[in-house]
Amino acid sequence: MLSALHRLLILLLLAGSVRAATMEEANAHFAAGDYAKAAAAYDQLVASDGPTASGFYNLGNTRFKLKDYGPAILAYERAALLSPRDPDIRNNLKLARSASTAFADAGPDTWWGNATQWCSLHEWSWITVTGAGLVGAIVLLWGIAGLSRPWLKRAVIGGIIIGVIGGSLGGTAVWHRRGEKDLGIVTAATATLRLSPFAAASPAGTAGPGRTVILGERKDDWVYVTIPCTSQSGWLQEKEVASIFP
Amino acid sequence: MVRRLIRLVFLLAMFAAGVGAAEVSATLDRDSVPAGEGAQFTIEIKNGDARPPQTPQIPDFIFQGPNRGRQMSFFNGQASSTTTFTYLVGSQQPGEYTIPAITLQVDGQQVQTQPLKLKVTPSANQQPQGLPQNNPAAGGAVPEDSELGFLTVELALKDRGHAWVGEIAPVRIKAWLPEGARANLRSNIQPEGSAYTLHNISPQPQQGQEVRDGKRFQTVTWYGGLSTTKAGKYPPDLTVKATVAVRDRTQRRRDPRDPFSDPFFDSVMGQFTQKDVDLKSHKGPEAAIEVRPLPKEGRPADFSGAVGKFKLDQSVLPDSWHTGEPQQLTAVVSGEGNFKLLRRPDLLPAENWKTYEGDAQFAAKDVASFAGTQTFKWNAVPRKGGAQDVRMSFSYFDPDTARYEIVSSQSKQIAVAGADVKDETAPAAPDNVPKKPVTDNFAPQHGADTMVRSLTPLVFRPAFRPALYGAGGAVLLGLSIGLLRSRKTDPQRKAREAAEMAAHAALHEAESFAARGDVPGFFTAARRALQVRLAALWSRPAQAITLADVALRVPGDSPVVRIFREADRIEYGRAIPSGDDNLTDWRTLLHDAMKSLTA
Repeated sequence: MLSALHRLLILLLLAGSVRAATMEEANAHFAAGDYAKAAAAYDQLVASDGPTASGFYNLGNTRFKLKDYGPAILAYERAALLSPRDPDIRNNLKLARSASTAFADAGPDTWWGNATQWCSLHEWSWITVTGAGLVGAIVLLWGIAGLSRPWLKRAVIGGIIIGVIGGSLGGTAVWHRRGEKDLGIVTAATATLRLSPFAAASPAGTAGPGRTVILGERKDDWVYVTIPCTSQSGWLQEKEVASIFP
Repeated sequence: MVRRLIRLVFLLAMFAAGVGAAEVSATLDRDSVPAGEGAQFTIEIKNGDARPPQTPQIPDFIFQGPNRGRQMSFFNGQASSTTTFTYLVGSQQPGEYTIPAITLQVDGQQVQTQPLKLKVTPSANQQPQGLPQNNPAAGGAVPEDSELGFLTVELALKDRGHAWVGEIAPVRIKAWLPEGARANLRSNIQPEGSAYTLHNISPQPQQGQEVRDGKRFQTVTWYGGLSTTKAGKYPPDLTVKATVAVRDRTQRRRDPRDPFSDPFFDSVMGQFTQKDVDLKSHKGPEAAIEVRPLPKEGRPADFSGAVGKFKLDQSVLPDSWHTGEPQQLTAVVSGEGNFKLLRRPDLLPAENWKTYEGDAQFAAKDVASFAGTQTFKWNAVPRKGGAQDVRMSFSYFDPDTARYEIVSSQSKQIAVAGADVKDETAPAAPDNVPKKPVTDNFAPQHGADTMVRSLTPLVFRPAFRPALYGAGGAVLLGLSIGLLRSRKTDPQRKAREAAEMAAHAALHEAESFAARGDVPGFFTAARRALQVRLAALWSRPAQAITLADVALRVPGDSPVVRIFREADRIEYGRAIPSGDDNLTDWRTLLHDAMKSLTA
């Protein structure tokens, strides 16, 4: 029994050391200027260890250096999902957008629209659930136990107010940003929008690498996309575009 | 008869007297017309008559007609007549034509029309410029393995002999089918191999009959544009899948007894042989076109892949502006080439403006959309205040001169009011000035982040809704339990329940006394029951409620007052009511009184 536990511990330690070595190795490739190897290592790291902000960010940097601006912007967007207030991610994402000569996506133009961007959608979801859960728990507790003491009454009312405010803010932000589920990034260097979902169909325009698009209907290997804030829409091959939320 | 003649002469005289002076006018039913189509030109002569005029001789301009019309009317004693000469006018050549003044002899007098202008615009139905003349004899012999038809491809490559990557060349595609054949296309026309892309195939092909190599063919002609995406040498061969039905020419034995064996029925009943074929052009490797890559030297930073010849016809900029204020700009670019890769002009200097995606509308001048006019409309916002020299600029590659060309509008000075807008975002449109490297502030790599998370936000996970529903359910459950609990411990409610119980007990006691025939006991219990009920309603102690209070607040004929009065009379007057019948009435009265108090 003891030996089995030892084995398990050794395996866990080994696994930890392998992961750390891979990140170090990838960073070493990057530092040496071998961006192709670094990109492969970061890809492997994200696939094996799961999504991390640093993994996606470093992958985005590597793609940026390789001038693969579409995949770079996709990686930065995914890193920003996990770490929305990281200034490095925001900075390099802006640089990648600028380098890809893609239009900077028109952000929200209201103060409250900007406020909803302060937290990630994941964080807003948690704020919503926590606020609602707090209100639910307090009301249930009040129902069961009652409130006889004044200090307890004050605490419960305070808790309910915090829960309602948090839940409402989070719920509003989540509702406002619910469309982000369908957002994708054009990863191909030259992606041609087509009027119909087949290669010989007439082109309906081009979408530059890194361009944010709204993903719609899918048909075979094609996906219908709309470019926000423009009248451009059409079919792109699935390999030319990737959803930000995989 | 004589009377009738007199009437007619009188009417004619009246008409002649009523007709006014002659007026002549000329009108066109529209100001512009596409080449090859006609506009209606009308000369109208009021109150006069004339012979058809001599139409002027205008080079390339056609007059067709005239159709003559005459109308007479007689209204309020005034007679009038109108003579019209209608022509169909137009030209095959685009341009601006002037129809000069036309002289007419109206009732012996010379009258002139006013001159008119007609613009003949290029027609979207005409074949693209640069294609060779349609000459079947020049196409060579009929390919050997093409019994059921073949394709021919004619390109407009001028005399260069080579093409450039991205260049679009007008192409005439002709399907040659045996005479009398019927054909259905089963696919679009496709280039063979992946080197070429076919664009803008004319949706309405032209059908005709032509003789080639001594044979008569049915022909179907399309126009379109052919372009390449990679350098190399490729034959511009095309193919299309078709089902061709040709008349079966095999001799069949004719049975004299068969009523349908006459050859007449062959054409009526349709003796056709049908076959699925691939119609192909047969240019082969020897006709391969050399496709050259676009040169890297001299490539402008804003080059978007447009290959052809373009010019900026119009650039519309406002005279005054305000920082942060969006205004719409318009640019009209005309020419020929791959318009789909032509990007809208940049507003220069680029760093002073933030520009947005806009709209582009293309008006084709030929059936292959090779030549045309693209109108761009987009919004821009000034970032910088003060007087500024602004111009629009775009670039393209000229395949004839093999050089990149930059087209700029004339600079216009615009007064931009307001303070500079601080905006960290990079200018949207690239300038011709070489770009500053964007990696100046490139943030460094991060170390290992041990926190593994999911990219899918909680809101898009299945647990999100149940969690919210659970919280909502907890709120409802808590509220329900709390309400139930508070109801249980409510002192008022408890007092109400106690009063009700006391009233019921007193009522029950009164019933018992009544059953035993104890009249004083009945009235005492009845009064107590009413006192308890009234105490709950008036929020007063039951014992404190007397006949005086009741008489003051309740109408005198009410059963409540009567029971109170009778109870007092029996208790204090020692009066004993006679018989059970009376008590039965009092019982009913007591129930009515209790009911009235409940209500």
